[in-house]
Amino acid sequence: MKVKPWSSHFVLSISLLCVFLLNPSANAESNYERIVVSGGSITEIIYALGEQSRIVGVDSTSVFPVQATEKAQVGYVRNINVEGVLSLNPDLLLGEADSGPDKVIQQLKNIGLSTHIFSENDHFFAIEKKISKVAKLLNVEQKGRDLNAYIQTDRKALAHILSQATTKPNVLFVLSLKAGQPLVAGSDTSAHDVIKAAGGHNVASAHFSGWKPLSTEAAIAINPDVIITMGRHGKSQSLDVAKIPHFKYSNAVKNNKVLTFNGSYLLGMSPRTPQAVTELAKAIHSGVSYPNNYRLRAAQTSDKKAL
Amino acid sequence: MLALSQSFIPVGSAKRMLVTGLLVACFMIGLISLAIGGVDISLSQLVDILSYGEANSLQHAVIWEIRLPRLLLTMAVGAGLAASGAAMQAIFRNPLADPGLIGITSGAALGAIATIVLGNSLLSTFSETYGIYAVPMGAFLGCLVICALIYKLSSQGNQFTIISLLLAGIAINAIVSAFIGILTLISSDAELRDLTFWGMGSLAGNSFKMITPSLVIISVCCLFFFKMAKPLNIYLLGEQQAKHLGVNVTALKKQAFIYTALCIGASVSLTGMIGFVGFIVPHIMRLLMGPDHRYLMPASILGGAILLSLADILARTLILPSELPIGLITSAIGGPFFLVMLLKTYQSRGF
Repeated sequence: MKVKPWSSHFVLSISLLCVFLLNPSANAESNYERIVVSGGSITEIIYALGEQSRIVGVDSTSVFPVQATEKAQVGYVRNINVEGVLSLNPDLLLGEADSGPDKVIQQLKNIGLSTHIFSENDHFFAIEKKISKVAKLLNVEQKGRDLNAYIQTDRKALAHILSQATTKPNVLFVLSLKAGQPLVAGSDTSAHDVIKAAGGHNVASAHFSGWKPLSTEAAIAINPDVIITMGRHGKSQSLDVAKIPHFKYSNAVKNNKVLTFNGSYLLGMSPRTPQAVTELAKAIHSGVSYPNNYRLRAAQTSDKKAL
Repeated sequence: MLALSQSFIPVGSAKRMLVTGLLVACFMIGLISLAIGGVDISLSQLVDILSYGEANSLQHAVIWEIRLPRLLLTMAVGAGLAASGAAMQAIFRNPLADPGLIGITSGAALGAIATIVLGNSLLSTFSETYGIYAVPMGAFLGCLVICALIYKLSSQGNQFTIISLLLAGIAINAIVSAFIGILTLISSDAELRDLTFWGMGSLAGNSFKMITPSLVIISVCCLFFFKMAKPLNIYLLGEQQAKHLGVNVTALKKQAFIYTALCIGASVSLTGMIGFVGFIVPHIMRLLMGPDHRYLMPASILGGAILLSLADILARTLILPSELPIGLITSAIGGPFFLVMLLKTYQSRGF
C-alpha cells in the first residue's frame, strides 16, 4: 500500500500534539530547579511539600525548619542583595509580598531572572491558597492538595473547639518589652488575625492599628483576660510580663493565663499556623477539648532551646 | 584646622604627584571593584565585556546593569560627600564641621522617611506617580526645602554669618528630629524596617536611569567647589582679612552652602545615610598635603571616591550572598584609620 508522505507527517504531529497536551509536566518552563526564596512562610511551605532540594538560597526570615538556615543567605526579606541572588545561579525568585527593595527586584527582572512576588499580604484564611500557588509554581500540584487536606484536620479541630466555646475572652498580644514598655498588636496585624481566628477579642484593636507601645494606665484599663507573649532567645517572657505594673493586677496574671508562643509558629501564616491557632483556641477558652482523635503533629520550633 | 608646620607640607610638585597618584589609584580600585562580587568574573572576561558592547551573558548584564552604575554612583557620592565636607570645614574654619551638623542631611532624612511612612496615605499620589523614584525624590526635595529654610533664617538683612547659620542649623536639626520621631512612631512594621535600612545607607539597586541626575548634580557641584579653592584659601586668613583682600565673603559662604546642599541632597537621596566620609577624607588629605585648597579639593574628591569604593567592595563581599550596610563599614573602618593617622602626626611632631 502506498502511503502518502504528508499523511504520515500528519499522524505523527497529531500524536505528538496529543502527548504534549495531555502531559502537563512536559511544560518545561515551570520546572524550576534552582529557587531563591525570600519569606519564611514560603520556605516552610516548600519544605512541607518535600521539595526543599530545589531551594538554593533563602532570606534571613526563613528559620523553620532548622535545615533551612543552612542554605545560602541572601539577606533580610526587605533588603535582599542583587548579586548575592545572582551568584547562586537561580532560575526563580519566589518572594513574599514585602520582598524588596523594589529597585532590587526590578534589577533582577531586567537581568532576566523569573520572579514571582506574591501580591497579597498573608492572611490566616489564605494559607491554603498560598500553598496551592506555590505547589503550582513548583509543578507539584498533587502534593499541594495533599498538604491542604492535611491542614484541614487542624481547621476542623479549631471549628470543634470554637463550637464548644461559650465566651469571647479579651486577649492582648505582647510582642516585646522594649525598655519596660510592652509593644502590643492593634488591628491590621497578623496577631490580630490569629486572635480573631482563635475566637478571642483583641482588646487593643479598639485603640489603634499596627504595633504600638502601651502605657501603664492604658494597660490597666484594658485588663486583658489572656496575654500572649513571644518566646525569644530560648527563654519565655511570660514571667517578665507578669511582673511589670502594666499587667500585675490583670485578670490574665491572676488566672495564670499568660501564654508563650513561638513567633514563626503562631504568626508565620505557614502550614503550621492552623495547628498553632487550634492550640491557642484551646488555651484561651476554658472547658473546651480537642476532638477525640486529634493530636498536635507539627513541631513548635526547630530548636528545642528556643521556646 | 589641623595646621601643620611648613616643613611637613610637601612642595607644589610633590602635591601634584600625589593628586596624580590618587587619580591612578581611583582607576585601579574602579577596575577591582568591577571584577569582584558575588558572580565570578575574571579580569580577562571583564576586559572583553567592557570592550565589546554586545553579549547576552549573565556576566555582561551583571557588569553593565549592576556593577558599573553602582561603581559610578559610589564614586560620585564619595567625591561629593568629601568635597562638601572640605568646603564646610573651610567655611566654618572648624575641623568638626560636617553637613550633618547644620541640618542639611536631616532635611533629606525627613523627606525620605516621610515618603516611606506616608507613601500609603497622605502622599499616596506622589509615591504612586513616581514608583521607585519616590523616595529619592522625596529625600532630595526634603533636603532642598530644609536648606532653603536654614538659608532664609541665617541670612537676615545683608548678613550671612557663620554663627547664625550654625544656630539655625542646630535648631532646625532638633525640629526635624522631632518630626522624624513622630513619623517613626506612626510607621507600620514594614515601614519601620525600611526607614532603619535607609538610615544605614545602601548603594544597591540603582540603574543608570536612576543615578544620572545625581551624577550630573554632583559633578557640577564638585566643579564649583574646585573653582572655590583660591577664595577659600584667602578666607582661611579670617573673614575681615579676606574681605580686605577683595573676596566677597558673604557670596562665598552662600555659594558653599548651596553647593553643599545640592551635593548632599543628590547623594543622600539615593544612598541613605553614609557617615564619616565627608568628615574623614578632607582630614586625611590635609594631613597628607596641607591646607591649600587648590590641591586639597581635588585630593578630597578623589580620596572620597576611593574610600567609598573600597568600603563598598567590603560591603558587597564580606558576607556573601548577603550584604552589609555601607554606612556601617565607613564608620567602622574610617574611625580607627583616622585615629591612627592623627596619632602618627602628633608623634612625628613631638607632642
